[in-house]
Amino acid sequence: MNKDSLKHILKKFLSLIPMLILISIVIFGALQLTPGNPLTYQIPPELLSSSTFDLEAYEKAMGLDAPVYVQYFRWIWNILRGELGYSLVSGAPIVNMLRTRLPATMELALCGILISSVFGICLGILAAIKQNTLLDYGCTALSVLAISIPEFFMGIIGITIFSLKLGWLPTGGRLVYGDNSFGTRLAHLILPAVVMGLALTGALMRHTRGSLLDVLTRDYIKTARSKGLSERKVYLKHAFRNALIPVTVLLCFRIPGLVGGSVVIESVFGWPGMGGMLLDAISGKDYPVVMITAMIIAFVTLIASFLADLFTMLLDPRVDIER
Amino acid sequence: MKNKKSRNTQGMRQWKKFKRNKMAVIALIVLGILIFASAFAPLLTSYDPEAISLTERTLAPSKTHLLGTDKVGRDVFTRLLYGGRISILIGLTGALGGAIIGAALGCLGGYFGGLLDRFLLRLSELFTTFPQTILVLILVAFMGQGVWNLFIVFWCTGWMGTYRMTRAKILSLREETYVLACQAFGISNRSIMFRHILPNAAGPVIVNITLSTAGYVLQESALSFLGLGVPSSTPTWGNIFNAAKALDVVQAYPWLWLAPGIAISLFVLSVNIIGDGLRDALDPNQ
Amino acid sequence: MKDDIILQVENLHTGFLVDNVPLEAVSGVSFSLKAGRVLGVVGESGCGKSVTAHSIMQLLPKYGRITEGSITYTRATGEKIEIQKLRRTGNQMRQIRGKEISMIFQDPMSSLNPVYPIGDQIAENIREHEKVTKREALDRARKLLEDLEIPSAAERLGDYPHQFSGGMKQRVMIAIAMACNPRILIADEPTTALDVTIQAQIIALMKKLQREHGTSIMMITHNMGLVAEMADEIAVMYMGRIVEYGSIRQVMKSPAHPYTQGLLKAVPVLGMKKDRLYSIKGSTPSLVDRPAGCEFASRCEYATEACRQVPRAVEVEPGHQVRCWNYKEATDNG
Repeated sequence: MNKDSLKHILKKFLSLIPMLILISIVIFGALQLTPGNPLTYQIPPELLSSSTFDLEAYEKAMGLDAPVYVQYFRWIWNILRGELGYSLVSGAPIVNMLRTRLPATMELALCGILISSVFGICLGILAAIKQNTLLDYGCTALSVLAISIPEFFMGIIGITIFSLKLGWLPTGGRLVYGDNSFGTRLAHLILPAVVMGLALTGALMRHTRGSLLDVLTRDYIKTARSKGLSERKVYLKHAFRNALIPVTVLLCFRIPGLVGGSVVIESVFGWPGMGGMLLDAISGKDYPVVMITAMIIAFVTLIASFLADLFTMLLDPRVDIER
Repeated sequence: MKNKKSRNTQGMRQWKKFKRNKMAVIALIVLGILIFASAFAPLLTSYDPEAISLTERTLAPSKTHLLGTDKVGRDVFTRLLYGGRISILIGLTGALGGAIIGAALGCLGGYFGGLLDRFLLRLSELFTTFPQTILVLILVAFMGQGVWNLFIVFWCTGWMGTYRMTRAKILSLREETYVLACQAFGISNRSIMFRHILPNAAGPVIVNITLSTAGYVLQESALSFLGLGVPSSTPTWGNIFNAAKALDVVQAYPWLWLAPGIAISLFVLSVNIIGDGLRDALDPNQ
Repeated sequence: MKDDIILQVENLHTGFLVDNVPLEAVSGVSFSLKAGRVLGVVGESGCGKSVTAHSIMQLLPKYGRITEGSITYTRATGEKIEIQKLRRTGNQMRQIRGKEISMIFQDPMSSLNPVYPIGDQIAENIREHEKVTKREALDRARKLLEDLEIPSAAERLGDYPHQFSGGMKQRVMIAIAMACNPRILIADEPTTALDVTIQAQIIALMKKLQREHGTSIMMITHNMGLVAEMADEIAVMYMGRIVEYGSIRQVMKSPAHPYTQGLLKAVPVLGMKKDRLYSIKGSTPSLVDRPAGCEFASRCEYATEACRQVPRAVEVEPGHQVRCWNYKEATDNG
């Protein structure tokens, strides 16, 4: 990695900032417009419920009656310090809620990504190499199925087969109280992760197949063969490296969608993550929690698009560093 | 006149190409059956989708109740047919509405450029920063449940794909000689846009509409499954599936969730296959 | 030694499956390449000259097959190898490919792998066929680039293809092809994609390399001028057949086939008036509905009843063959 590319990465990273600011303004604005007093979520619930509490005096003391832009900067400052406000429903600090929920969703999403990238890319490569054979048709059919069957349906089928009929896996949840062994954690994780990654697996498979077939028609593959390289080397060194560039980009861009999909998966499997939290918040009209969750997900999206840039730059020397 | 004829023959060729794709033809037939059955639901079943019958609760599929009955004795087959009406309608309207808004904004931004274009581009970037599921959830949280609200939510969140496609197409076409020639002949901007440029962007947009119809049917059912979509009193495929949220239903009354699950899957699967077939047929490079 | 035949192609037929219908792109081509000589294969695009080259290298696409005929390569040891009998991706074929016979392609823009530095791509060929360390291979790559007159070659070894211009890329391709000092170099339209001034440089370099190493070259092109400049022998192809074949002097001086005459008349000469430039009337028939008999008949001013039959190759003079029923008439008028 040379200096130019580091500079490029830094520049890309800095270019995320205007978008972040825009998103925070939108979120802040939405919070101001929420029904009820938009300020209450910033006040600790102990205070709010105490009999001596004087809302106006408190607002004055904390500067919550200041002009909107001042409040916005104070809000940002609080967020940077980790003070995200309080849930309107439970009164718990949102940070504390996230502290248990975020890792659970990350665990699920990372596992889903891992499973789908391994299976999706491998099967896609296989289908491309065995183009127009039964194997190829089978893989292509499976990928369309994986994209088309809704996650919740797949999840219920999985629970019926593996939990209810065979009894191999638990029907849901994440951790068993008092049993933190790897085995039980994995047993809880595997089915939701597979179901979550299924659609992505299908998409990656199609994309890998198409991309590899495209690369294989390129002239430089012919050049590689004309050097007398073995087919193994032609594929491993020359074809895959090029075919995987667009696949990596797709993978990065699909990460946020995966986090979005966690709402459904977590509901099916009773997984205690952000998706479940968001769902509860929406049903309970707990707007601060909804908006903070949305902001985190938007943040993930920005990170993912940055990752896509980063990976393309690492994999593809053609990316113009000057621009 | 001559132009029209050539377009017709091109359409014929594309249709021929589509017909050669056997999977796509089968999918088209399946889709036709699903749509037909939903549209003519009253002719195919004599039950009322809302009629509760406490004496006939959770009956297994039989001759009188083809797909059994649910926990309050409603005929599942009937509910499935009537549910399909709403689900398919939401899917189609959502996709069409999003595409129309997207194409319109894409035309405006791409053709006139300038501040308007920059604003729209930023707006679409902002919208795409949130995964659509999340965007839909947030909007539903603010707007509440309801079929009309779903339409609006889908329109608001589904225009970006078509917008970017149309805009890119127009930007590349705007510089082409025949458009410049149109301008030189004094043909109005609106006429150039709708008569000359838009038809050129039609192929990918049609494919996009098809595929997003499938996407919206999936989304409606997911939302209804979560209890946030169409109010549960109205039958939709997602609302019927919602019964599977109870583990005893999953275990003891599989017809209650298998039937809507298969209906959704079949619909989405056939639409996806048709979309792929269309993409291949409309792709001039193949 | 000089006139030893190093590559003998006999009655080569190569076909493709298009929508499960076999199409013949090369129908009974025979020629020989002599050691240290340059053979020019001329014809318009789609005449089967590229397919012939790819057949020799066994680099045909998946649905291409050699259906008949033989390609015999004679090793330095005198051992004769029938290439069409080797497995495409088998060991023996791979030892020949890149080491003894190598190839340059038409489009240098897309012939280099975009994700690897060019030094590695040249060294890869050397390391595939010879037991050398990476450093030695890179050093040889640098020398090759210097021979090909690429400025500051040592620094440019680490550059990626997109950092090179078209002409420079083609030099890199030549370096790859020449890396193991092959005995035969097949150049498939090596200059078509380049600017005219760059073309001249590339041709000069190829001539220089050919002189220094004694490589036999099969030069495929549609450019008659180029052939006249480089080749010792010439084969003119039309729709999968060689219609005229002979030494460069024989063919240039007294072209016997009407098609060759047309090609020669179509070469622009400096100082000539533009509107006088000759063009062969009509266009090449499609391979799908190949006309019966002589394929050129529909475009030929000498066509007669006889042309409904496919003409056999006739010897005009020793070493000069032509496939035309009416070549005598054509020679007299042409």
